[in-house]
Amino acid sequence: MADESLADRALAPASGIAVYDGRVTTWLALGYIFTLAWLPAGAWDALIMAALILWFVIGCGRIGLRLIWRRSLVAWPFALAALTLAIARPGEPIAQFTIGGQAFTVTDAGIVATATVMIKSWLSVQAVMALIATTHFSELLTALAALRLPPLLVMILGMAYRYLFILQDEALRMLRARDSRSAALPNRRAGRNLRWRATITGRMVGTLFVRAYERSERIYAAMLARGYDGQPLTTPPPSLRRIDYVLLIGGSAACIGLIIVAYT
Amino acid sequence: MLTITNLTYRYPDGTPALRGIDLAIAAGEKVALLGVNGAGKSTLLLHLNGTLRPASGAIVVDGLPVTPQNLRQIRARVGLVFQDPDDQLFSPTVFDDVAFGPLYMGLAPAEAAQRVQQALQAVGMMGYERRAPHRLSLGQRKRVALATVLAMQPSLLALDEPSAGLDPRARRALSELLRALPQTMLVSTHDLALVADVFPRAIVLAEGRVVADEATASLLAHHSRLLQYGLI
Ligand SMILES: Nc1ncnc2c1ncn2[C@@H]1O[C@H](COP(=O)(O)OP(=O)(O)OP(=O)(O)O)[C@@H](O)[C@H]1O
Ligand SMILES: [Mg+2]
Repeated sequence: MADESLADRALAPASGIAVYDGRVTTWLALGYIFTLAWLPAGAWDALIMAALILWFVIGCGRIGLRLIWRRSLVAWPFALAALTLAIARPGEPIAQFTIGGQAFTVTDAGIVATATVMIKSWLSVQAVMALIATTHFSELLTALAALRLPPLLVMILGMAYRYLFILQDEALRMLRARDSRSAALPNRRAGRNLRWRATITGRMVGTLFVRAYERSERIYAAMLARGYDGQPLTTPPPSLRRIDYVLLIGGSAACIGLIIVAYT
Repeated sequence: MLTITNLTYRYPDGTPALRGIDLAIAAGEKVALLGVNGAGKSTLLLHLNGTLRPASGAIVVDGLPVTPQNLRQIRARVGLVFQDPDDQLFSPTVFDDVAFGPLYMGLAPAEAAQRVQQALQAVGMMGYERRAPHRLSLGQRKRVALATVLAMQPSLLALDEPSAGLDPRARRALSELLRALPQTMLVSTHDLALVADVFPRAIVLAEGRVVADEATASLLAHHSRLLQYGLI
């Protein structure tokens, strides 16, 4: 029912990277994110190179950099949490302010840490977005399983992902239902007041979780009815091709290069 | 009352669902919308209150074009009931769901409560006010879904298979209700008994086009055409 569900957003067919093995894209994305995490605060040259490498890859994959940037905006609320680093780090004081009688000092080390964390999280989110745009979730699970993640964990991830779909689908249906009866009469104020609308929305959230849970129960029952016995359904993945190894080696070299640049 | 000109629609995945629909319905007319599964009935109805936006073409309700700017006013005039009642109902209780439309329009709570009673009475669901809609049977949900729109007293009812899943008595009650209601109606259905009972005019869709638009009596009289359109 959902017009724009997560599934529709998987851009795989349009993308050049999609021809590569899902395991390769997953490992490279994970490797990139771990490498970023490893870079020390203030390693600007390495961070700039990391960004250029990522954007180059996204460009080669014809995923659309602007699309990725727009989607990466979801990370900003989390990045705001990094702001607290600016006052938490000891260092040379730069500015001072008071909130509610409490004095805070912004330090130089704090600002460097904040900026680093923000850039890292922004780049990491972009890497994940590029991964999602090119790799189907089932391939991602295969890649994780091949990394020796416990099968149970992989299965739970798969289930959680499916539940997320259901949740999103139910949410979109409910919002559409509400919109379709949000009507205005001439000469009368529609929508009552903010408090009433907030109450309605609050109740919808509660109903949403019950509905999504009950629907996933029905789906699970249907799976059991068709012989699903709790074992993850997997076929052995095909072996990696030469191009896959080339990409993996190239990607690893780039990651190691970034770390060397950052620490020397 | 309702004018549709050259309406086409294509789903985001590329499926062409409507290919140039033209039709006009006068005030007070009750029209059945027929056609096999996938003919485009639901897609057409979803356009009437702007849930779907046409790729091209125009829809005018009571002189007001269906455009993003007019949606709120359009939705006061067009009461759309989705085919799947789970697409219609979103509140924790039946009462809340039926009361939503009237309250949102700005009616006083007492008046809204009265509308809820009337609407639930009309569909035979009195006494279910405190129940959770998603825990009702399919037929019960279909009836509550209809009540949510009746309570808003729109001038055009766009119902998507209202009799599907109803038991015989509830069907008969629905048939009587639709006959008694004064509103203009465009109702998709596979239920020829209902069509014969309620709707003097029938429109047949096939592959997103209008292939017949005529008096129900003349359509139902031709066995071969009903077969051809896949209606029997
Ligand atoms: N969300 C969707 N995405 C893509 N295609 C769709 C979607 N919904 C419907 N379609 C397609 O559009 C066409 C018209 O569908 P529609 O639901 O309007 O048919 P219908 O006449 O209401 O059928 P039914 O009698 O089964 O309710 C069909 O070919 C269908 O497969
Ligand atoms: Mg339909």
